[in-house]
Amino acid sequence: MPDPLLDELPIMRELGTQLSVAFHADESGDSISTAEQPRHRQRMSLTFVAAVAAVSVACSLFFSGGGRQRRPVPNLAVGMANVADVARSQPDVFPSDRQFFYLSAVVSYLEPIRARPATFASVAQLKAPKVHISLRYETWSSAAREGLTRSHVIHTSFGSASARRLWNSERHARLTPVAELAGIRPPEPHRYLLGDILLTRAQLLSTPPNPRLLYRRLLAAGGTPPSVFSQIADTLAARPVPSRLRAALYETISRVPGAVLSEPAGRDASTVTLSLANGFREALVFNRNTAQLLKERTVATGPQAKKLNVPSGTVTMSTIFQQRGVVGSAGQLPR
Amino acid sequence: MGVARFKTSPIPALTGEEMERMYEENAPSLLRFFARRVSSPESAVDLVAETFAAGWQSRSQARGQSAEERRAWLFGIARHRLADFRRRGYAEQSAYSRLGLTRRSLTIDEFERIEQVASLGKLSGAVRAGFARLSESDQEVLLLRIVEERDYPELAASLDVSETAARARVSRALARLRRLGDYSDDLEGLNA
Repeated sequence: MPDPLLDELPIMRELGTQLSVAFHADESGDSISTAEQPRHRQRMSLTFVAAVAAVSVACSLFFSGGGRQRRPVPNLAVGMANVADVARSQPDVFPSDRQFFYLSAVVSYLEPIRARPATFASVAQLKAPKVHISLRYETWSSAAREGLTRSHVIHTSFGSASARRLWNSERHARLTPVAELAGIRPPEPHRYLLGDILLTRAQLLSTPPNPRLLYRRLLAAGGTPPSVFSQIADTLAARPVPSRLRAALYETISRVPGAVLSEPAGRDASTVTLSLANGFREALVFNRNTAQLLKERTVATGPQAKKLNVPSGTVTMSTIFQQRGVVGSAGQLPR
Repeated sequence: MGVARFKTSPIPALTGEEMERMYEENAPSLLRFFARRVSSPESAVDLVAETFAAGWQSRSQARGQSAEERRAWLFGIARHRLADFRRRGYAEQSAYSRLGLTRRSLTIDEFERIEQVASLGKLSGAVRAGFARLSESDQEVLLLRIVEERDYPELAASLDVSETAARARVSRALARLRRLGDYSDDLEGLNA
């Protein structure tokens, strides 16, 4: 029987949720922390780093027969083709017009305390102290019926005590801990989005799973190669797509100039990153065994980080996808 | 117990899901454990957070695979954190911070509820006075047995000793408490 103390103390529930998010993020090589590396590591001397590297190389030469082995990193096209093969072998999770596509995720984002969300309009706002907000959201979207969104703030963190004080003095007007928004209408009735392209159900289902053609269509819709990357990310993340088209979208990623694949040793997750000219780096993390997009994150680097007054490598937005499915009504959970 | 501890076959590291389950099962007990041993509710919550974060960092060293064995491992970490707290005078948050986490302050309702949890309400004023004069180690076993009403297998797991040793420690602590005054009504039925 669950101990009632957990429910009597909201702080204990919040603590559990934030630890859980951190464990899962850490487990798959991601982190919702404000910097990608712990500070003590940043302070390590170059001599020490060189010494550790030398020992690692020596050990790998001597012990290459056992333990965790470093996977040879495949090139992007090969890696994406492998994931596409997995996607193709999976059953379709595709709703009818009157059914709902369900998605739950944990979103964390960095917000200037004195600015409205996502409006880095002035230099003062860019430099303002930031709050890192994590919230869990669920959405039910349908091509023909009104959808629903629920969100619940699970965590706020601050880079400094002064940022926390500032937040405490202003937060009452800024953040609704639990929100529900009903009556969300589809962009157009009986239409589905493939990237930024609106299609009928019949058009979507008959779209040729051809990466070359898909790239051209998405480029025409978005205008730039990075926009193709973000349209694919949006589609894989939060929209219903037939398996063969999902497979083709993975293959289309390898056509985006500058996209890079990394596959950390010993993990099932792979990451594709794209560095943008403005200093942001976009990353998609997916499971190679299920071909599901697990995470999406945006990292501020170099001049962009300086502009935002945050350490280079700060994650400005991160989404961890938890569940996707098809249900019969808004508010219903997939089995 | 000794055999389980020195098993040579590797035990897989705890997963995020297993740690979540451990939190559900053990966080309330850990909060009670800390709340009754430190003066501040804020510190008690910090120590719970730090215990799980430190547990996550050393998950590859988790002993055993049963819920009891894992609980014992977690309480072992908690005791280290408590000792560290007593030495420093504040709750260290290094493992928790390393996960990139901070938490909000307690609300006044939460503060009061944790204070309530921390109270030794079951004990009469006389026993409390005697209790305060016992050693830290005697207080520990009596808190677990009398205030938290742990049974002996659970008590043994929390102290990381055998059940026989746990019974002996409770018995000795009760004997020392009795020598400090006549608490027969309060302590009835609690003999080891």
